[in-house]
Amino acid sequence: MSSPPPFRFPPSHRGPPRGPGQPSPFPSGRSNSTPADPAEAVRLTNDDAQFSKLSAMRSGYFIDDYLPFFMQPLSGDAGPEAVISTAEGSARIDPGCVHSRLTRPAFALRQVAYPDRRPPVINRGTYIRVRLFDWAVEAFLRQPGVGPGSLQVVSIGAGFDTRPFYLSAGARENLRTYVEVDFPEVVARKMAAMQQADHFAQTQGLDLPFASVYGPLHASAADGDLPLSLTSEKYALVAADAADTAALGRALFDVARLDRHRPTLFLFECVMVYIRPAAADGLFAWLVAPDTGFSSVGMLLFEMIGGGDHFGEMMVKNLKSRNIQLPGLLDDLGAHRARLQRAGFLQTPSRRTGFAGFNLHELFARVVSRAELRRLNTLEPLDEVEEWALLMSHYVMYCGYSEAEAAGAKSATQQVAHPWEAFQQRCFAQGCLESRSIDRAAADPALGPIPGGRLPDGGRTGGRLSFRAPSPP
Amino acid sequence: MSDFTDVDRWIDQLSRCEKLSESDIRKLVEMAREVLSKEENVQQVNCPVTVCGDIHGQFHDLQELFRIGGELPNTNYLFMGDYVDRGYYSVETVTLLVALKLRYRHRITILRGNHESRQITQVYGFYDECLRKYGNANVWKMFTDLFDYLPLTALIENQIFCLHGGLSPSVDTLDHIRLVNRVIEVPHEGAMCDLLWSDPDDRLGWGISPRGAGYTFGQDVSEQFNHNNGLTLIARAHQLVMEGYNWCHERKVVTIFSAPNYCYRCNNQAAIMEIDEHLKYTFLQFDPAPRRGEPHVSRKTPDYFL
Repeated sequence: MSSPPPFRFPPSHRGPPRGPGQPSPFPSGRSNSTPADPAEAVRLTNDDAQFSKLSAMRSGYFIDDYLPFFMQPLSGDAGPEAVISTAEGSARIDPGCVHSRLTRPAFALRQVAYPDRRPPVINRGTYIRVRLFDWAVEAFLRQPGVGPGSLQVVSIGAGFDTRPFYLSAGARENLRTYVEVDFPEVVARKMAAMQQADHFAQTQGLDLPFASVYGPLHASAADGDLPLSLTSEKYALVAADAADTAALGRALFDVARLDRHRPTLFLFECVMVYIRPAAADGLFAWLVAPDTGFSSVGMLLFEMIGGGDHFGEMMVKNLKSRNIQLPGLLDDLGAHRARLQRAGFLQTPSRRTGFAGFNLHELFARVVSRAELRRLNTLEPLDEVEEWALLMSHYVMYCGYSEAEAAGAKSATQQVAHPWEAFQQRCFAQGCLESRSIDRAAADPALGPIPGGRLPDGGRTGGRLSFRAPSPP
Repeated sequence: MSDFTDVDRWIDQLSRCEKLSESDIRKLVEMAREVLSKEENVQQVNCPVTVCGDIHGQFHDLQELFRIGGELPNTNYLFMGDYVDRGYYSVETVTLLVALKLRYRHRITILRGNHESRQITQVYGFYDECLRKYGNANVWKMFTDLFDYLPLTALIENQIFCLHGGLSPSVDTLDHIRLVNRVIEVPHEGAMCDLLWSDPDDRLGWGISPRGAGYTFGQDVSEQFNHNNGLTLIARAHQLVMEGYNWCHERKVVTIFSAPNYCYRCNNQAAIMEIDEHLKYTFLQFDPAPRRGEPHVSRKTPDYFL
C-alpha cells in the first residue's frame, strides 16, 4: 500500500485574509480580557474547548455537524455575525451558522475563515479527547445484550457538548436518558442556541436539528428548588453546581428523572480540576452512597495532571494568569485512583469495582489504529514531537466503576447488571479508533453508521470514523 | 563599501521590537538575497563562534541570548534555523536576524531550519502573524521566498558540522550536500528534507521519524559520517531539550535549543554553545528574559485542553 505524503493541506483550508480592522468571525478561544470572577473564568473554559473543537474540525480531524449551532457569540463580545465565504464570495450570516448547517451541510462551514487556528498539538489532542469520549459512550451504550431504553449517561460540566445529538441510532435505542449538567449561565446559553436553531429550521420548513433527535424539548425556568432545564423524552439539560450534591441530586432525580437502578455512566471531561478537593471527594462518595442509591455506576474522566515537574508548574502559572484556578489539580494517575479509593468509589463492601487509566501520550499510541494515524498524518504536519509528549503526558483519562454485588440478582425489571469490566477493556482497546470507509460501516449491520463525528470527505479521504467491534478478551 | 545607513536604522528600530514597514522589508529582503545566494550549502565558519539553536519568534529571549552571549560584532554567531513560528514575534525576530546578517555578514551565519518553509509557516503561526501585523501576506511571501536562499549547513574549522536537523541516508559526504540545489521550498523527502528534519536516536541505523519527514539515525551512522568527513562533532538543533543542550551518541552529536520556556509552556532552559579559538566549547544556559513592557503577553497564554 502506498502511503500518502507526510503532510498536505489543501489551499481551501484557509479562508481569505482578513483585514486588520475586521471583527473576528468566531469567538476567540481565549477571552480578550481576563475575567475578574474566577467562576466566570471556569465557565469560559467551555468556550475555549468549543473553539478547540472547531479548530480541529476545520483542520480535518473530524466533522461534527452540530458544532456550528453553538458557534455564536459565546462570550458576548464576539459580535452577532459570522462570516462565511464560498466559491461565490463572502457573506455574513446570522448567529450559529444555522443557515450553513441546514442549507449546505458541512460545505459552507468548511469555508469559514478563522483567524486563530490552534496549533497541531492542540488539534490532535482535541481529536483524541473528543473521539475517545465518543467511542467510550458508544461502547457503553452498545454493550451486547443490553435492552432498549435501559442505560443512562450523565455528563457533568457538559458545556456545549454535541455528543448526545450525534450518537448512533443503536446507542440512542439503548439509552434511557442522557443528562447534561452545567452552571445555570452555561445551560441558559446552550438552551438558547438549541431553541434558536430549531426555531429557525421551523420557519424554513426544515427538520428540527435538536427536537428531531429525542423529541420535543420542554424548557423550564428555575423555580424554587427546581433548576433551569430543557428536557425531552431521552434528553435533559439541567443547571446545577456539581460541587453541591444536594442540588445535583435534585437535578438528576427530580428533573432528569434518573432511575437509580439502571446502569449509569458519568462523564467528567475537564471538570473536577476546577472543583475544590473536598467537594470532589464528596461528589465521588455521593455517587456510591447508599442514600443516593445508584446500584451500578461507571465514570469516565479526562483532565490535566500537575506531574510535579516544570511543565506542570508553568501550566498552573499560565492558567492563573487567565484567572483559572485549578484547586483540584492532582499530580498523577495514582493520585486520581487514590482519591476514588478515599471517597469509597473503589472501596465499598459488597460492591464490585474496577479502574483502568492511562496518560494521554500512552493512550494515543495505544488506541489510534495505524490506518487512522496515517490519515491524521496527512492533515497537517506535527513537527513538535517533544512538546506533544510533554503536553499529552500531563493529561490522564480513566474509567472506574462500582456496582452492587446484588445487582442483577434482583428482578431484572428493577436492576440491570452491566458488563463494566468488558466496557473498561473496550474503552481503551488497542487500535479502537479506526478509519473506516462508509461502505464498510454500512455493510456492518452490527455497528451501522455512526451519525456524528464523521470524517471529512472533501472528495479525497471519504468515509466515517467508526468503531471496531472489540475482540473477545 | 556598502552603505549601512538603512540597515543601522532598521536594527535600531527592531531592537525596540518594532516591526519594519512593508517597503523596508522589501528592500531588506532584496539585499539579503544577494548576500545569502553567495553562501554555500556547507558554509565555512571560523572560530571563535557561538552556536545557537531554535528561536521560534521568542524575540525577547533572543535579546536575552545576545546579552548572555555578547553583542555583535564582538561575538560571532551561528544560528541553526527555526527563527519563526510558535512565538508571538516571528516577524521581528526573523527581520532582526536578517538585518544583522546584512550588517555583519562575516560575523553571523544563519542556516535554514525546517520552519523556514512556506508549508510549515502556514500551520505554525508565521503566516497568521504576518497577516495580523501587515494585513496581507506580502511580508510572508517575501520572507519565505528569501528562506530558499539560506544555507543548509555550516562547517566550523573543518571539524564541527552544524545543521538544523540531522543526517540523511542520501548523504555520505559533505560533497554530496554541496551538490544539492537548495534554492527551493523544503521538499517532503530527499537529502535536503532530511538535513532539516532528522533526529538522532538511541536505536542504531536509520529509523522512521515520528515527525513524518526525515529519519532517525543511530550512533553507528553518526560515527561513520564523522569518520568519512574528518569531523569531531555534529551540532544540531530541532529538538526541545529541557536543559537547553543535550549530548548523545557518546558526544559525537549535541542538540542545542535556544528558546527558553518554549511556546511559553514548556518551562525549559535554553542554551548556546561558545566555541573558542582553540575549539574548546562551553555551554551557556539561560532562562526567559523578564518580560518588561510586554502588555499583551500576559493576556495571550498558550493553549491547553480545558
